[in-house]
Amino acid sequence: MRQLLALLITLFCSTVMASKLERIEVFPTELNLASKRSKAQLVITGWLENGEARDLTRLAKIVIADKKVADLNRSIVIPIGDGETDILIRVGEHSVKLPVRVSRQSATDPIRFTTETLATLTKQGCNAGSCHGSPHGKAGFSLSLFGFDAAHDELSLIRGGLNRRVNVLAPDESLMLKKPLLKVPHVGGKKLVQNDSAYHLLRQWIFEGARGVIKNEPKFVKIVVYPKQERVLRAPHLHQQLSVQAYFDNDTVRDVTDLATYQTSKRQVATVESNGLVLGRERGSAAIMVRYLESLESVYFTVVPESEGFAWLPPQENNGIDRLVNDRLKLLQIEPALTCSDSVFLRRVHLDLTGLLPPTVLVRAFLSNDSCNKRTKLINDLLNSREFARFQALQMADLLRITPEVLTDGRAAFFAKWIEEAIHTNQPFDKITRQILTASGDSKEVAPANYYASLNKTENTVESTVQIFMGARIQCAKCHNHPFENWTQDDYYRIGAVFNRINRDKGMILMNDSGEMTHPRTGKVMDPWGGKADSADPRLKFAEWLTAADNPWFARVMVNRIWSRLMGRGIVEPVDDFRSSNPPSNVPLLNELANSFATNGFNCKQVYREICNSQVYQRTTQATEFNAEDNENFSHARVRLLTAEQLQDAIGYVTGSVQPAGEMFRVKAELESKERERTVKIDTNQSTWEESQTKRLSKLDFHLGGQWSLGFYKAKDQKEAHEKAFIEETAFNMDLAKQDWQLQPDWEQSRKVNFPENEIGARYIYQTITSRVNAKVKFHFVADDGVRAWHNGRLFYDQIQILEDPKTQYAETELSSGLNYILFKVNNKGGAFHLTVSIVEFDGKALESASNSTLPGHITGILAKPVQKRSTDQQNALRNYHQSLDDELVELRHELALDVRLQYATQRPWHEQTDFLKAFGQPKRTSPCACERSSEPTLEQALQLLNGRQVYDKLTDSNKQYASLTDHTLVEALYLAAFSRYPSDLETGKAREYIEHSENRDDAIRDLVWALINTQEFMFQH
Amino acid sequence: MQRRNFIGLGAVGLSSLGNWSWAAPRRKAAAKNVLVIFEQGGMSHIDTWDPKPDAPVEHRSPFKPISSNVPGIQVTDLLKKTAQHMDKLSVIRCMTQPVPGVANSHPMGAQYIYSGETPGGAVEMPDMSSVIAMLMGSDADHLPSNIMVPGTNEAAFMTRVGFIPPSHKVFKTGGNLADPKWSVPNLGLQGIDERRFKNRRDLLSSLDVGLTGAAKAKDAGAMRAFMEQAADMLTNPNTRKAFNLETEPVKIRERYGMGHRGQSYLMGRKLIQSGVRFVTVDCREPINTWRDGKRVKFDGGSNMNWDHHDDIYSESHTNIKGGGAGAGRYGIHTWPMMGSLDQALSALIDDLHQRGLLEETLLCIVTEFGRTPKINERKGRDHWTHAFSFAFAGAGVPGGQVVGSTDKDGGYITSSQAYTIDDYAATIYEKLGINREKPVHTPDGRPIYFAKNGSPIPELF
Repeated sequence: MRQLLALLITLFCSTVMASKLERIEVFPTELNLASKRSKAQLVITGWLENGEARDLTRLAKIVIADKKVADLNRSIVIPIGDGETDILIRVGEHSVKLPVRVSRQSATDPIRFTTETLATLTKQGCNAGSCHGSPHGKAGFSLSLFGFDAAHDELSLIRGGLNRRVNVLAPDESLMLKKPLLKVPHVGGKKLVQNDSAYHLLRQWIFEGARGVIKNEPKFVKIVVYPKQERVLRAPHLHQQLSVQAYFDNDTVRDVTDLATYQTSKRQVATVESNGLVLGRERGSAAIMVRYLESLESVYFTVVPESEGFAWLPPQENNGIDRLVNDRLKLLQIEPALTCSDSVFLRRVHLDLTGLLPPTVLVRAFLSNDSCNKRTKLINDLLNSREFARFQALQMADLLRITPEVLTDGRAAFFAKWIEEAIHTNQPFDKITRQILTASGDSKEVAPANYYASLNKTENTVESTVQIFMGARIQCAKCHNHPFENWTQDDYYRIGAVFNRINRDKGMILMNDSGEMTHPRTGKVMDPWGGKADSADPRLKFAEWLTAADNPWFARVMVNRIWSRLMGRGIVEPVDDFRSSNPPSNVPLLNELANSFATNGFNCKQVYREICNSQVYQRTTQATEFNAEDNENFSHARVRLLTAEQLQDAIGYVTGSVQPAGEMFRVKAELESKERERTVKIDTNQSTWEESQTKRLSKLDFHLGGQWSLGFYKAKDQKEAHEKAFIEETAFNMDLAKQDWQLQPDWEQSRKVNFPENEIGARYIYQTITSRVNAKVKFHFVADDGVRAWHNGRLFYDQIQILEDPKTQYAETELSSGLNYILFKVNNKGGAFHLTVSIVEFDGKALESASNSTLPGHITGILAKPVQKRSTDQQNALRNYHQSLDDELVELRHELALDVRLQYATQRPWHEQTDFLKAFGQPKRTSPCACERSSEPTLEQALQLLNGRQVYDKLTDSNKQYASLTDHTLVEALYLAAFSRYPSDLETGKAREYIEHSENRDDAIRDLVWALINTQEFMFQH
Repeated sequence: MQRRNFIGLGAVGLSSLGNWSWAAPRRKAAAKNVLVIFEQGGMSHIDTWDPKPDAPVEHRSPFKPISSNVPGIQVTDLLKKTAQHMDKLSVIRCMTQPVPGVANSHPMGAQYIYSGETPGGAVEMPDMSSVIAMLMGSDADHLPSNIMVPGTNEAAFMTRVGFIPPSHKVFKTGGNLADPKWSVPNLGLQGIDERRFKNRRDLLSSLDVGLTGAAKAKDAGAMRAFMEQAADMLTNPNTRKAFNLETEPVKIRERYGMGHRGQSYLMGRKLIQSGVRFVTVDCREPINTWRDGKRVKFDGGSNMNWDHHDDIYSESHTNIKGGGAGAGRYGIHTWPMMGSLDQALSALIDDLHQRGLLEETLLCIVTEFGRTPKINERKGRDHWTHAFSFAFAGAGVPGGQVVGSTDKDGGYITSSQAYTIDDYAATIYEKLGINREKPVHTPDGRPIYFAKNGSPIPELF
């Protein structure tokens, strides 16, 4: 052992020669051992001239002045007797002094259940999710996950199990000890070692009476881990001692280094012992997670083992991104790759930014262009293109789950178009986010409101919003505190409180007044995240909090997504799993990108521009011995399979089965003329249709027109709201009204109509009823406050405040045959504001439902009027409605609205889900997780490429594009299309030979096309 | 040809799984392969495996109980032929769904059957067949290790690969196996012959320069492996033989029944014989199909699974006036329903037995749930999760055994044993020798135990 020490010191000194030791430091800086069970793990750090730190804990000479006060156990200080003394620490010529105070050595200090026993159970793994911490425990014994519920654990341990789990009179007989020691069979295996500190603690706790939670005991506040920041472990100093201190609310501090639970995020890079000693192994970075009670802290380590023969050759650096990436590569001793060729760059940047292969004409031009800034210019051109906007919109639409099955009636296209425009005009990302998160109104009119329309429950909304915008997977916290992050169950439900009041009735996104979120376990009402409980729309405060420039959960997430789209892997990976136990592979890089993003108005295109212009983005995929193992530090470009849409479009382009962009105008013109023809055809049936509908309606007893609403009129009190005539109420007739009436969803019996306002005032609703005969009709009213109702200008119901008494809730009037106008005025005295009206009797008969016309209300209303009395607007409304009944016309209009780019999978706003696309991982858009797009190779994909139906169909006509060219030109055209490069002489020779020796030239061409699309160079980005 | 290690191919994704290991089994593995006959729709148990002659006459099954070749065991005469093989079968009449509302629908019930766990939990569970393919690979490297024949039942879209690598997704053959021209869609060379395919492949290998300097890239390697395997499958005579019904003597084909169901069951046997690890047969007769070589149309039979909500005893289709969910089927005793099933199943059991395959193949005949003991107002029976029947054979399953019993209506279990679909799943894992105590971790680090809510059914061992 001593030889090892000597060797280490020698080694250390020799390294020190390389960079001199400047000073040493000890943690903690003073010691207060106030119990006979206290101790303190020292950590001695040496700071070198070059700024790096070295762990000298086991190399330093540690001497205690007065051994009657305290003594040492290796690098742990243990108290002996009350008093004060100093500890002197020396390394070479450097020294530092550490004062120690020891007190209360004769006082008792019983083991605390909450902070020591439970911590030990966590450390030994007893309450892990796969053991007794699982929802139903194991073998009838259940503990809370990682000890978050001390009351439950107390019951389980001390009073449960027929009192055999702890035996106070004979501690060694406790099952809690015997089982993990394997003295009796234990399915979980050996979890305690006799005479280990964990065993001692548990046994002592039982011996002392196995006491549970003590009233008014000091509560745990937080832990402080030393070292806090990232440390580099450089060979041969591949170790670091940790020290963990727990703070309590009575201002005491205890060392819990041996009670904390340690875990590593990457075992092959670094491991950690149960005493907090971190050992570095392979090159890379890892997070060491320190868990103590509810706290979870992570310390990042970069491990740099020996690297023989490595020499840092500074490559060309284009911008700050290159510098930050190279700084890390230099630290880790990983070699950066060279810049890729023009044709590789051209193909790569086209695919990454627009999803499409570069057209041949552009390939030729780019490759022959000599100017030195051609790459920069190309990047700018692509960023300005529509194809960029559409392709990025597709990726956003994946996350936002835009599908026409859920967002019906054209809302999917509407929302997708809005996103495309936002990207194309480069709207600041914080603005886009706020617009989406605070959207209200009819989802057919307010595009971003469709975000909420496709998330039907509060839980989905919480999880999606956090995953998309905050890059975190909070799902685990729905049922318990998150096991790997500091998200608690409270946090989950506080975010839930932000979204719980959203009313999604019939595609209208409105806020209800009520809808508090209660915690499922405690029943407590949760305050919404970011704002107080009584604010009108808690989403506003939440959105403000989220998009603040310094919010670590926002800018970093978006820049990381952009980085991942371009580089094939995020700086944090997976891109929606940000947590302290999943560290970024390059912290300064991520911070710089995020800061720049936030301070430059959240300009997305600028981020793309910076990254694409860096040398890092433009590196080759060629790996050398000094970077082949690197997967996360961007030393070289990644080989990536084209995504499903990219591959389908690429095959389409090379086989000529997808129209080149220029053709799109012609196709559009064709579609337009088809649409015009169809419209004319439908319109010729207009009057016949109107007649038949009017005839049908005339046979019904009565039918309803559309329901229209007008408001809001403020008033100073309820009386004014109820009585003041804000419009001409008695001479009411819709045709004469000049105000701005809004069409509401159709009348539905007993449907509560919510109004958005909550101040004192009133709103009007009007409705037409066309009756076949004179008949009495009875209404039933329910409102928060009061209602007045007029029939053809005559007041027949006047209740300033509707009460429980049914007499106040009903009113009758006599309808005349023909058109009747009913006007309602609803008053609000403050707060909730709604109205429910039902027609309960018609002509003496009780009514189940009030509507028996199959047409929408406002159409029925227009048809009820004589033809000559219909205004031009009303006639147009009828015509539009009639047109909307024709599927073919609707489809044509749909296609036109999408700019006829449905042929391109990368330009469509929603997925086509062909077999080919499904096989290559196109997401179904049922989840906000980036992992829904599967990117791994499968057997099915291979079959699709070699022999699939879609590929076969596309190949059938592939000869047409090339048949008229000479063999030589044809081969060149194919290579330019497929690989964005010219074929070599050898390749041209082989291909030409194949064609010449074939019996059928067309077949030979098809074979050649098939072969090229099945090469690795085609299907991978390289 | 070299034997490729399927575990190796799947392992490209396994590194994302964290720690797992397939530890030594606790019992010796009794089965090498599993063949699941999934008759989807909720097959009426009282009309088939669990005769109830004492039920009230207005609700009684019209099909009389008959003796089997095991004294004391009776089934209805819809299983006449299969009854002659009762000495190889264990019939479990006490199957139940413990939480009735959760998997009472076809999508949820089917997912329950595929994954062996009630759907809707915290984590979406992968199909059992995918898990087994991942953990055990296959003995047949020229075929996928996890196949569904044809994979077109009403709830076939509920198969899931969940959090395990997508390379283990179930391979569905598709199609109508009664069609004389049937072949697996992407496995039959499209529009070109073998010689031309070979020419293409030769051209490809001469032109495919690969990815310079990036030869080690993980995904590229995996794709190369799959391309080779796929190309091999496309031309390997063994692959084509395995999927080619015409290699079977006509007598055997006729024994199974020359319709879609019979030929699907035959395909199940062929694939098991080729060494495929897990085969699921999930057929329903198509409306336009072949029978005995001639084209046939089952008018009105647009969805001939077992969901007999309407007119269950119809002599033809079940499209009654005022009917609803039960339309599109044929009466339970007609040829496209139990007629073809009894023939195919009896042929299958006998065939497997004669070839010695029953020794190491676990055969399971399953459905999502049973049907109501009471006949409803549309002359049909509705879903019933409280009691239903499964049947098992092979791989050490005792023959000639009935496990569990139900009351005289066939509605509730009267025996002390009652088993769930989770128990069915646990039985499969146990028969294969897979240690269910060792969890597999999701990429998030969550430990997952397969068939955790079930235990192997003791009577089947």
